[in-house]
Amino acid sequence: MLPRLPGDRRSLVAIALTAVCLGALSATWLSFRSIDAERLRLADLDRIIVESDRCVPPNATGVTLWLPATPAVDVEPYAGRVYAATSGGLLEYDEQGALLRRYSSLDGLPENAVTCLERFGGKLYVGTSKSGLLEFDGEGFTRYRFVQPSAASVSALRAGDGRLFVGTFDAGVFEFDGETFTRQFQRDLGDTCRQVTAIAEHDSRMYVGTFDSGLFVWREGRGVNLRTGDGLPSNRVTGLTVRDAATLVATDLGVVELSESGTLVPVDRTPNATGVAVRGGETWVSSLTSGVSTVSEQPTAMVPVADRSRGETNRTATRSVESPALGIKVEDGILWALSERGLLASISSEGPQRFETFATPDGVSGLSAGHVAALTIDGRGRVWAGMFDGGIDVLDAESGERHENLTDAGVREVNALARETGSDRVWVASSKGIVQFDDGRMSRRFGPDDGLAGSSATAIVANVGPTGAGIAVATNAGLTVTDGRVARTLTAFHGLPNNHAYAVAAIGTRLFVGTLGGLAEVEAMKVGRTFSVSNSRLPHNWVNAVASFEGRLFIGTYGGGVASLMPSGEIVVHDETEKTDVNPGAMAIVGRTLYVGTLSSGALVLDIDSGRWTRLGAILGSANVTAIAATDRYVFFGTDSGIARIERSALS
Amino acid sequence: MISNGPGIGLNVMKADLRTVLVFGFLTLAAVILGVAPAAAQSGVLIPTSVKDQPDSSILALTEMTVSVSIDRQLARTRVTHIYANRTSNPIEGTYVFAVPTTASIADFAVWDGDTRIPGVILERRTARAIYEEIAARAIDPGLLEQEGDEDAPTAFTVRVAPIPAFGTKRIEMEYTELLSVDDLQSYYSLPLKPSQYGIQAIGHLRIDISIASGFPLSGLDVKGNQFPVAIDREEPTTIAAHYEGTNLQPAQDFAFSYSIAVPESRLDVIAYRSPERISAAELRDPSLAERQSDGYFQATALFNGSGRAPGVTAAGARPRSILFMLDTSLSMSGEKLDRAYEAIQAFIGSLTPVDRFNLLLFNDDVALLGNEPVPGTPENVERAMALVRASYLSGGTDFRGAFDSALKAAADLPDVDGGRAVVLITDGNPTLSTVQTRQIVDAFRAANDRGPKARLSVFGIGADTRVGLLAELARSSRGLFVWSRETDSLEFRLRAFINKIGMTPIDDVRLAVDGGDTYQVYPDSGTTGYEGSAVQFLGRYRKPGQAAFRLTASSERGNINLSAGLLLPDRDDAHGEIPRLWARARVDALLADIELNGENEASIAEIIALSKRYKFVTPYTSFLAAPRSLLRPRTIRPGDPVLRVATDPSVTSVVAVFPFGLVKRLAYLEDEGVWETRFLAPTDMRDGQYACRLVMTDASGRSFEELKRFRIDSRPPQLDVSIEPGSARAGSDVRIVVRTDADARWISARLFGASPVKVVWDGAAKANVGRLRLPAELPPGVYTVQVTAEDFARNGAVAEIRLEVLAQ
Repeated sequence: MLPRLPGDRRSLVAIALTAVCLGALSATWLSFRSIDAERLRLADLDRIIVESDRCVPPNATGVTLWLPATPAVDVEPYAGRVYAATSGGLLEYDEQGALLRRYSSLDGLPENAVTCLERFGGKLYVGTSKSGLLEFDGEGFTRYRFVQPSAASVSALRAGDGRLFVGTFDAGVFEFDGETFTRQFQRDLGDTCRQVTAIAEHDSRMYVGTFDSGLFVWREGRGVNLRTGDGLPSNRVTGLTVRDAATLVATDLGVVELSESGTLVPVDRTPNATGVAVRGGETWVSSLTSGVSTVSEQPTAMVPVADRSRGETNRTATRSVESPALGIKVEDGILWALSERGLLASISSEGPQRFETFATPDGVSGLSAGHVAALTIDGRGRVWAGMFDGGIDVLDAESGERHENLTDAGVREVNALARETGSDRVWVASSKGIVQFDDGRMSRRFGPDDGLAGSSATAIVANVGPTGAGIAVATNAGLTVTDGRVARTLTAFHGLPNNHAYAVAAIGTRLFVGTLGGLAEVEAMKVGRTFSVSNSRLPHNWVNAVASFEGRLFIGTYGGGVASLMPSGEIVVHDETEKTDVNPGAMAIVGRTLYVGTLSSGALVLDIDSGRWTRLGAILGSANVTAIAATDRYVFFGTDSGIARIERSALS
Repeated sequence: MISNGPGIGLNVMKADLRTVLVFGFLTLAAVILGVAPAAAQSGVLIPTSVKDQPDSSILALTEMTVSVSIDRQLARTRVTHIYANRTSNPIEGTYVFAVPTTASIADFAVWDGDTRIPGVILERRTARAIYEEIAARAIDPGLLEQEGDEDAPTAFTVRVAPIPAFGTKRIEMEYTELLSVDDLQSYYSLPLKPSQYGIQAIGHLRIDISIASGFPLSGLDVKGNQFPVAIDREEPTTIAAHYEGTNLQPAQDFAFSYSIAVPESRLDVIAYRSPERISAAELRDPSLAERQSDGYFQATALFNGSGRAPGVTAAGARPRSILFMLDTSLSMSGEKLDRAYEAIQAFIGSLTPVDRFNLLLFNDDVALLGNEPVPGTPENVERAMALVRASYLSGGTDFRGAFDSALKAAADLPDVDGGRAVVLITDGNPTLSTVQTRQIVDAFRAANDRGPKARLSVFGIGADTRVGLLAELARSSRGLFVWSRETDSLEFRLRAFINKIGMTPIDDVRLAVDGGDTYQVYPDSGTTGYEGSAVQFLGRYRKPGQAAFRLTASSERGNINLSAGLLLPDRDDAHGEIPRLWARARVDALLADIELNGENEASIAEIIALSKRYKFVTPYTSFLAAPRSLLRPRTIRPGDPVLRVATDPSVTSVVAVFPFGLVKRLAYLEDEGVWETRFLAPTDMRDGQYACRLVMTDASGRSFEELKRFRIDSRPPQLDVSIEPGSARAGSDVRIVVRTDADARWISARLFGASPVKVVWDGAAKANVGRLRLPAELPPGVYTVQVTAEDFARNGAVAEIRLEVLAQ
C-alpha cells in the first residue's frame, strides 16, 4: 500500500502530472504537425510542374537571321514532310529533299538549337538545347517548360506505347501522354539517371542511356545501372536500338549487345560511335571520326561518298559514309545517316543497301559556323565574322552570301577584329597572335617573336600612336603597342592592374586598357591612373569591353554591367545594367547609340542622349550576344548561333 | 545527341570572376612556385579524385625517409614517401614534386602492393631517331615526364592510383646533382619549405646524410633551426649524420653546408670499372646490353693557392670594374623579369664606392646609364635601379648590337687587378640580327679581341634559356656561366656568382694523363676555375694499370701544377656514379657541338642511347609517363579557353568529352604537333574540379580514353594585410605582413616612390612577409601601400593599407 501524501502535496503532484501529460501531448501534436509539414514539403518536391504556352513570333520587322549551315542532328518524317533538327533551327523538306522552310526564333521558337525530334500523337515533338520541349502541330509551336524539377535541355525523345518519353540533360526522364507529364520511371531509375542521351523501349523494358553514368534498365518496377565495370565499353551511351531480342548499346568506345539475361557482349569497336541502327538484317554504326559503316570485327574499308555540291542533282549511291556522322536511325523503313556533309538516306532495304544524299547542310547566309566571336565591316562594306573556332567568314552585307572563309592555324580562333580607318586593312586578334589583312589577303603575322606580349591577342585597336599608324593589342600577357617595326609592351610590372588584358580603346593620345584586375589609362607608354573596385566606383574589376564616345569611355564589365568614365575622371555606374556579364569586345557605338552584347541578356541598348536603356532579346536568336558591328544601313549582332542583321531604321 | 551547351563568350567564367584551371595531368606538371616563388616541395600527394589540394585528413604523409649521399660533390638524394588513405574509399592522387635546376631525376617508382613499378626513359617526339611507339604503349604505370615548358620547368607529376581505402601508397624518387664548391664550401638543400600547396605535415621524418670526399672535410653547418642534426661519425674525409623527428610541419628547407679544409690546391682521382654489370634499362632494350669494358675516371682539382680557410671570400675589398648588361626584351616577361630584377638588384647592390660600373639595358635597342662609368656609391646604385625600373620590355633581342655597345662601354672601365668584367643577365634567346650560336660567339670574340678585352660572365634565367649559347659566350672569354630557372631560389647562386666577379680566374685548366689509354675526357679544352672552387674532369680509360694525372693551370700567383697517381682498376665498382657523371658530360659536349654546328644523326643517337642507359633527361629524351596524352595548358586563363593535347604520333584523332555535355573533336596543328580546341563552360558551372575525357584513336583503329582534370576557380585570393609599424620615418623599413589563400602565386607590395617588394612566405611568422624601405626623401604624410596578389588561376586581388610617414 502506497503511503498517502499530505493534501497540498497531492495537489502539486496532480498539477505536475497534468502538466507533463499536456506537454507530451503538445509535443506529439507538434511533431506530427512538423512531420505533416515535412511530408507535404516532400510531396511538393515530388510534384511535377510543367508550364506551357504558345510560341508567338516576335515583331521582326527589319530583322534577318543569318544562321549557319549546320548538319542535322536528328531527322523525322512528319505529315508528309521530312524534318531535320539543326543548331540553326528546324528544317522542313519535301520528300525529294528540297528545303521548304526553316523554323527559327523569328517564327517564335525560343531558340534555334534544336536537338531531337519524335512523332507522337499526331504531332511532332521537338527538343531544344536550353528551352525545354516544343510541340509542333503543323501550324505553330507550343512550348513546355519543365519548372519542377527544372530541366531546360531536352536531349532524347522516344515514342512508346501511348506515351512519349522525354529525356532531359538535367533531370532524367519524363513521360507524356499528350496531356500530362509524369515521372513514373525516374523514381525507380534513381537520382543518378540524369544527362539522358538515348531512350529505347522493348518488351516491357525501358533503356536509358546517359552521358556519363552508363545504361539504366527499367524492368518490372526496378531500375538497374550498368557501367564499365559491368562490361560497358564506356559510360557514355550514344545510341540504343533493338536487334532481335536484344538491345544494342552504342558508346563512344564501341557497341555492345545487351542480352535478355543481362549480359553485355562486345559487337563492334568503332571509336566515337554516335548511334546504332538495324535494318534488313544489317547493323549500322555511325561515328564522329569514321563515318557510317556496318558492324564488323574489323573496320570496313571506307568508300568515299560522292561529292555533291549545292545545286547538283547527281546522286551517287555508296555503301558507307566516310565523313563524320552525328547519328543514324531508321524511320518508316528508311535508314538515315546524319553526316557532316549532309543528310543521307538509304531507301531500299532489299539487296545492297546504299546511301543517297537527301539534303546538304543549308544555311541562311554563308556562315560556316554558328559561334561568332567578332564582327567588323571592311572598306568594301563586307561583313567580317570572326568565329570562335572556325576562322573568318567574309560575307556580303546585303545577301549574306559568303565571299570566302579564311582559316588557318593563325586565324582559326578569332577573338577580335578591327578595321583601320582610311584603308582596306583589317586586323585579326586570335589565340595565336595578330594577323594583318590588306585588301582581303593575309599580309603579315605578329606573335611573341615579333614583340607581342602574349601568345593570345584578345583585343585590338588601330590608328593609334604618334603617327596614327600604330596598333594597340591587348593580350593575355600585357599590352603591346607597335607601329609594325618597333613593339613596346606594358605589363603588371609597369603598373597595369593585371597582365591579362581584354579590351583597349583610344581617346586622343590616351589608351584605356581593360584587364582582369581593372582599367588602366596609358599615355606615352606609361601607366597613369588605374581604376579598380577598391579605388573607384568601377562595378567590377574584370573589364571586358571599352568604347569611346566624345571623350567619354563606356566600360563593360563581366559581372558588374556597364559604367562610364566621364571626361571629368569620375566613374558613373549604370544601375540598369547591374550584374550583367558583358562579353569581351561586345560593345559598339552606332550613331548616338551604344550597343552592348551580354552573356545571357541579349543586347542592351543605350540612347546616349536620353540615357535610356532598352533590351533586344528574342529577335536576335540567342541571348548570348558576342559581337556588334554596323554599316550605314544595318546593325549586325553576332551571337553564339549566328548573326542577326537589323535595319537601323527598325531599331530607331 | 547533345548539342553544344550555351557558352559564356570567350571566357570560361560565370558571373563571378572565374577561370578554368587545368590541373592534374599525368605527364606535364605545373609546379608553380606560390607565394615564395623560389620554393618547391620534395613531393606532395594531392587526392585529386576528391580534392585539388593536399589534405592530411584524406591522404596523410605518415612516413618520409630521405637519404642524402654526397660522394666527391655528387649528391644523390633518395626520397621515399608513404601516404596513408584515411578514408573508406579508394582514392586517386597526383604526386607533384620539384627538383633543383641542376639536378636530374635518376629514378622514380611507385609501389603497387608488393610490386615496384619503375620509370623508364623514352625519346621525345622531336628526336630524329626512332620513336619507340611500342615501348611507349607498353610503359609501366607510374612514370613521369619533365616538360621543358616555360611554365613548368622544374616540376614532375605522376598519377598514383588507386590508393586503397585505409591503405597506403609508397612512392620513391631519386635525383642527383653536382654540388659546386665556392670559397671551399658546398651547399645542399632539400626542398621542404611550403610551396603553393601549403605546409605538408609529416608523421615521421628521417634524413640520413653521408658525405665522402677526397679532401679533408670540416664544419657540417645545418641552416635554420627546425632540423637539428646528430653527427653519427666524423672522420677526416667522411661525415655521417642524421635527423629524426615526428609530427612535423616543415616551414623551411632542409639545408646544410660543409667545408673542405685543404691548406693548398690539390688533385684527387678516383675510378670505376665493372664490365659485367647490366642495368635494368639494358635488360629492357637488348641493343643497350653490350658490355662496357672500358673504365671511367673522375679527377677533381680544388684550388686554394692562398692557403685560406673555408668560407673566407677571396675577393676581399679589391676594386672591381663591371659593366652590367640587362636583357629587357619581350621574352624576359613574367617570372623571368622578377628573377632578373632580383639578380640585377643583388649585383648592383653589392657594389662599393671603390668599384666602377656602368649599366646597359638592351633589347632591339640599347640604353646606357651614362657615357662613362661611375663609382658604386649609394646614389649611383639608386640611379641605376631607377633606370631599370623606368625601362619597359620591348621588342626582340639583338645580341650582336648589344655586345658591340657593351664592349665599347667596357673599354672605358678602369683596368683593375681582376680585369674588366661584363656581367650579362639574359634568357639568351636572340631574335634579331644574328641568331646562330657560332656567329654570335665569333662576333663577340672578334669584337672583344679588338681590345681592351673584357671577361664576360653570364647569369642565365629561364627554363627556355639557350644554355649552349650562353655557356659558349662565357667560355670564349673565360668567364663564368650560371643558369637558373625562373622558379629557382637564387640566393646561394647569386652570392657565389657575385663573389667571383672581379676575381682573377684560374685560366687554362687542363688535365693530362700518362697511362691508361684514356679518351673522351671532359672538359676537353682549357677550362676556368676560381680560388676556393673545384674543377672536375671525367673521362674513360681502356687499359687498367698505373696512371699519372697531371693538372696544369695559370693564375695570378703563377703556374699551377698538381699531380696525382692512381692504379686504374681492372674491377672496382665502389664509385658507381662515375659512369653516369661521365655520360652527362659527354652528352653536354655533344649538345654544345650541336649548338655550334647543327644537328647530326650520330650525335643525337648517342645522346639518346646515353640518356636511356643512365636515365637523365635531354632535349631529345623524356622520362616518359604512361599516359599517351598530355593536356595543356595546365592553367587556362580567363578568356583563353584553349585546350591543347600532345599525343604520341600514332594517334590519329582526339575527341574531348566535357562533363557539361560538350563533345568536341580536336584539330591537329601540324606546325606545333599538338591537338587543339576551344571550349566554353556553361554559366552555371560552380568552382571545383571537373574531369574531361579524351577519346583517342590510333592508326590501327584502336581507341582508348584518358581522364584529364581541370579546375574552375573564380575566387581571387583574399588578402589580410598589416604593416608593422603603422607609422615610420622616411628612410626606415617597414614590415608588410600578408595572410592569404594557399593558392596565391605571388604577392607584391608597392608604395609610390619606393621599389616594389616581393612578399614571401615566412615560416616563423606563418605569414607572407615583405620588407619595404621608405625612400629617405619621402615627405611626411599618409600614404597608400598597395598589395597585389595573383593565384594560379590568374585571379588577381588588390588591397590597400595606409601608412603614416613621419618627419625625420
